[in-house]
Order: sequence, then C-alpha cells, then structure tokens
Amino acid sequence: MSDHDTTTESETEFDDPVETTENFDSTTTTTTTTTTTMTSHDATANGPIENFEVNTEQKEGVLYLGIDLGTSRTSVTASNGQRVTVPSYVGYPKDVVAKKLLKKDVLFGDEAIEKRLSLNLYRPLGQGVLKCSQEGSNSGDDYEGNVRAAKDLIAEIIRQAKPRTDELVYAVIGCPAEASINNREAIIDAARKTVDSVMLCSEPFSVAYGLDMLDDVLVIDIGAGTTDLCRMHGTMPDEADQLTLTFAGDTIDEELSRLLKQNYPEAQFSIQMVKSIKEKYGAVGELLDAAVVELPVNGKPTSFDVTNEIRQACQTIVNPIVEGLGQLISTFDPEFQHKLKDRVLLAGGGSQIKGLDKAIEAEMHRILGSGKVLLVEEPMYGGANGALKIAHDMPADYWEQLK
Amino acid sequence: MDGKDLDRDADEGAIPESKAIRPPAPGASATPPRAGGPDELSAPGVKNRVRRLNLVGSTQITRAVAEAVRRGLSQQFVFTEPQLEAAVKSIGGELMKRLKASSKSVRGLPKDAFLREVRADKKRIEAQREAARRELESLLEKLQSSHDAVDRREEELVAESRASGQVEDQALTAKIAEIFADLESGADPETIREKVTALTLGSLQGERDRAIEAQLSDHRNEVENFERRIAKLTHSLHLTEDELKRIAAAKNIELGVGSIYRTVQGLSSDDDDYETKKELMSSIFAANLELQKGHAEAS
Repeated sequence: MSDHDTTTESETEFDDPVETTENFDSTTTTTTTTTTTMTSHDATANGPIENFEVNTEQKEGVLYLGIDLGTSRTSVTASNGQRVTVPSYVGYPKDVVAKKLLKKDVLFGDEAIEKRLSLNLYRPLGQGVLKCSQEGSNSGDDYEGNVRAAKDLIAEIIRQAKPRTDELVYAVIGCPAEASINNREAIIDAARKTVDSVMLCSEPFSVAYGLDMLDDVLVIDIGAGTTDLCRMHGTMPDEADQLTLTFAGDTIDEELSRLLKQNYPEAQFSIQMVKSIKEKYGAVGELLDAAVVELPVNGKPTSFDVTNEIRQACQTIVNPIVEGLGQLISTFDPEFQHKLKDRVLLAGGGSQIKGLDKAIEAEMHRILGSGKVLLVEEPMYGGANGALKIAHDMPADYWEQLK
Repeated sequence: MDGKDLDRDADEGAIPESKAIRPPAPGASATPPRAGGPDELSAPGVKNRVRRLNLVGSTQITRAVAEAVRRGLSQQFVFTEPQLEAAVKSIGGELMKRLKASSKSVRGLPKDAFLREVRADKKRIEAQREAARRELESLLEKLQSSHDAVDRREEELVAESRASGQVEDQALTAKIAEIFADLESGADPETIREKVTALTLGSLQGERDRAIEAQLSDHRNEVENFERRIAKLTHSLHLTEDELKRIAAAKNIELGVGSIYRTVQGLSSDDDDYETKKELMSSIFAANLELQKGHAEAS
C-alpha cells in the first residue's frame, strides 16, 4: 500500500486509525506523509484554491452630486435620490466639557446653531466667498478655523448625500458668479478629499441650466451673502454677463435689526431671531396677515407688530436688483433686450420673500419700461438641481481628466 | 497509547529497518493476538493480523481538547471572542506542556524495547485506572456518608424542635392549670384576668418572634440571591456594553444609497439643445482644467 493511498484514508479526526504498513518505519513515515498530504487532499476535495486579488480600485456605479454652496444654506441633490439642505454653520466644542456634553467633535447646521453657546461657531462661506481664502478673510477672522470649517462643511454635505464606497462620485459645485480664482481653488481643495472628480460652475448659470433656460434669460439668484445676476444667451456666460451684488438676505437681516432697534429699543433680540422673523414673515408690499412677534423685554416675552419694519427691510434689495438688471440689459444686444426683460428668473432663498417678484416687476416697469419675473419652483434646490444636471451631462472623459 | 509522543518527522528517524516485523516462517503457528492490545504487535504474522494501530499525536490531542473546551465554555458562559481565544490558548498550552512532560520519546527504539515500553505504560495506566476507581469509590462513600449525616441532622433538628415544643406545651399547660386552680380557690377575677392576658400575650409574642425570625431569614436569603443575580447581570451587562461599543464603532460605517446610474452618462444626442449644451460642457471643462492645472502647478 502506498503512502499516498494510506493518507487518503487517514482523515483529520484525531481518533481515526492510521494504517500500519510493513514496518514501524512506515508508520512514522505514514504519519509524516499524512501531515503533508492532507493539505493537497483538502485542496483537491474542495476544488482548486484560486488565488485571486480584489481590485479595490474597481468601482461600479456613478453617483452625481449637484452642490450649491451658499452663505446661509448649503444644498445637495444627488442621483441616488438624496436631497439635503443645511444651514452653512460649523461648530466645534469650546472645551473638553462641551465635547463630553455634546458627544461630538463637530456640529453642523441647525444643531450647531442650537448649541452655539458651547461652540466656536463658523460660517465659512460668508459673503459668498470662502472666508478661508485671503480675500474673504478679515484681520479678525480665524483663517485656520475657517479653512477647517469649509472642508468639514463640504465633507458633511457630501456625506449627507450618502455615497457608496463602491461608486464613483462626480460633483459639480455652484459658486458665486464673481468668485475669484482663490475662492474656487479653496472650494476644489476642500471637495477633492471626498469625491473622485469635481468641477465648479457659476451658481446662476446652473439655475438656468437646470431649467433648460439657456437663451435670452436673466437669472437673479438671491442668497444670504450675495445676489448674483447672470444673463444667458445660448453660450457660456462670461464676466460681462455676470454681476454680483452684496445686497442680499443678510442685508435685509441687518436692516430689519436696525429698524427694530430704532423703533423698539426696549426689545431684546439676536440676529438669528431676526433671520427667523424674516423667513417667516418676509414680504414686500401689502402683507395678508400682520406680523406680530414676541420678543423679550427685560426677560418678559412681549408682542410687537413688526409688519412695517419687515416690509421696509425687504424693500431695500429691490432697487439694487433692478439697477443691476438694468446694467446687464443695457449692455446687451439692443435687438434682444426686450427678450431679456421678459424672462427674468428669480431664484435662491431670497426669492421666497412674498411679493418680491411683483415688486421687482413693478420697479422694472418704472425704470426699464417693462419686465416679467418668473419664480423658480424650488428656490432652495434650484442651484443644486442645475449643478446635478450639469454633472449628468458632462462627458466621461472630461471627468477622467480632472481626477 | 496515551502520552506517547510519536514524532511525525521522518527525518528524526524511526525504528531501524533491521528490526522491522517479518512475516512468519512458513508453517509456524501463530497465536491469535488479542485485539487491540500491545501483545498483538509482538505476535508473529503481525503484518497480516494487525490491521490498525491507533496513534494519536499530542498536537491532535491538544487541538481536540481545545475545541471541546471552547465549545463547553461558549455554551455555558458568556465570553467575548478574545476572552475565549485567550482561555483556549492558555488551556492548550498547559495541556501540551503536561503531555510533553509525561511523554517519552520512542525514536530509534528496537521493537522489543518499544513493546516493553508499551506494556509498561499499559500496566501503569491500568494501575492509574485502578487508583482512580478506588478514589472514586471512596468519594462516593464519603458523599453517601455526608448525605446520611445531613439526614441525621435534619432528624435531630426536628426532634429538638418537637422536644422544645413539648417543653413549651408543658409550661403552658402548667400555667393554665395554675390559673384554673386560682379560679377554683376563689381568687380575684381581676388577678386571673391579668394572668390569662399575660400568658396569652406571652405565647403570642413568642410565636411572633419566631415568625419574624423566619421572615428575616427568608428575606436575607432572598437578598443574597438577588445580589448574586445582580452580580451576574452586571457582568453580563459589561460584556454586552463592550459588544455594543464594538458594534457602535462599526455602525459609523455608512453603507450609502446607490445611484440610479451604473455608468457615466453624458449628454443624450436626442436632447433639443444638444449642440448648445455640448459647447457649454466643453467650456465648463476647459475652465476647470485650467483652474485645476494652475492650482496644481502653484502648489
């Protein structure tokens, strides 16, 4: 009996017998062979053991992200159905006690606002630019903090889109029309850590692209930090086609705050409270309901009718917008100026101010002779939707080259 | 073949060829070997009759014991995987050490010497078995005598209880008789009333005390029981918390939601504004390429 035959009968169970052969030498030899042959026996019994490598670089599926980085709100729309908008606030616990209490290293959005007393709070996209770039930062600003906050915010908004690790992630990020190169580079740096390939485009352009309005349309994108104007005429808008105004949502908040202090000096309020009042009651022209709010006076909640103050504050941006429109229209081909005036697209969070479209229209009639303002259906996601569409339409090799 | 370390490494040698078992001489009668014993090996014609010899290496023994221990522990107790591994490893190591310490090498031994070793081992094992059997019998006897002692003690306690009860009954009977004697002799009803009351209350108090003592004893037992259970549950809770922490850490890995697109899309040629959009895509790409290249060069 050959050793090999012997070993096929000796199994791995320890109390199974090993057959002796002719001499005790063979016994020992047999056991030796058992040890070595069992391996091949196992291999043949179970089939050939294939050595294969998992290619960790292979990804199946493509996730497109359309991101709108706003001063006040950051939104993302994704091709997996996820749609999220968060206030553009990032907070870090002030000390160890705060960290233990909050159980987090970083907070975002509403949570950061709510717990802001325990946090070092950042709004890294102030005035439409990244505060971490040199242009956006003031001498008193925490440069390093803003850099970190911007990166964390971008990473967070991408995370909220719930990308899978086995999918490519291609993102288009809308940034303000007049954002400088430094700002754009800062945004790209922040995004590259979490996506496979990223492109930037102008925010108002992405709004127009998302609605398939590529020709003879004027986009007004009213954000918190800036109001972007962009005229579309069937080609890529250049610098002359775009205009950024600093009159925007924050301007209204500041004006409302000033008026309340002036008219109700005893009332106590914060800028966050003013913002909430504006978002709830913001309107231009006649309001359907009076805006009565409760503000503390020496610690006691007191009702104030702030209807006029709100109306007045919201009205402040109408004139600058129409002036900007006038500038873009007047420098356009005169043959097509009337077309532009008749297709003014109002977008952005500020477009939710009731009656603003009518107020702009009225002002256009007064100053420019005519005008027709259209409201986008989803002001919060208009920019992100458009960016998503751009991401979808971008050819594959363009993405590859930018990886 | 217990405790023998049959080295499996052929290089270290075995019983020399010259001592190999030879077939019986023609015509020689062979005593039928007892199956399974070492004598079997020494019988002539062993080649034909001894079909199987159970040989078990110490490694296999240790592995089998380790597996049995692991299964036993995991069935009876709550251990985390690292704890199980550590316990099994420790037991396996100890077992291997003891096996090696009690084993003898049989490498290079002639057949006779090997058989002598085997027989000596067999005798020793049998002696051990006998000693173990005697010890077991002795332990069983001790256990039985312990049970008997417990039974006897129980009977004594019952008898004591009955005896003390009888004494109390007798004392009570005597007191009652005394009271009735006073009644018959015309004693003051008030005095008799006081005596009866004192007797009754005294008996009642005694019973109350006994009842309270019994309740307290039960209560103490219950408390001890609960404390043991709490200790067990606390231990189990710690293990569960550790496991939850591990899972919680794993939970941070988000699986994500899959995109509706399996491949990169791009513009559809059916699009109404295909040419315009194509130009626009090209412009956006060119601007981004320039931006990112410039940034890469600068950094």
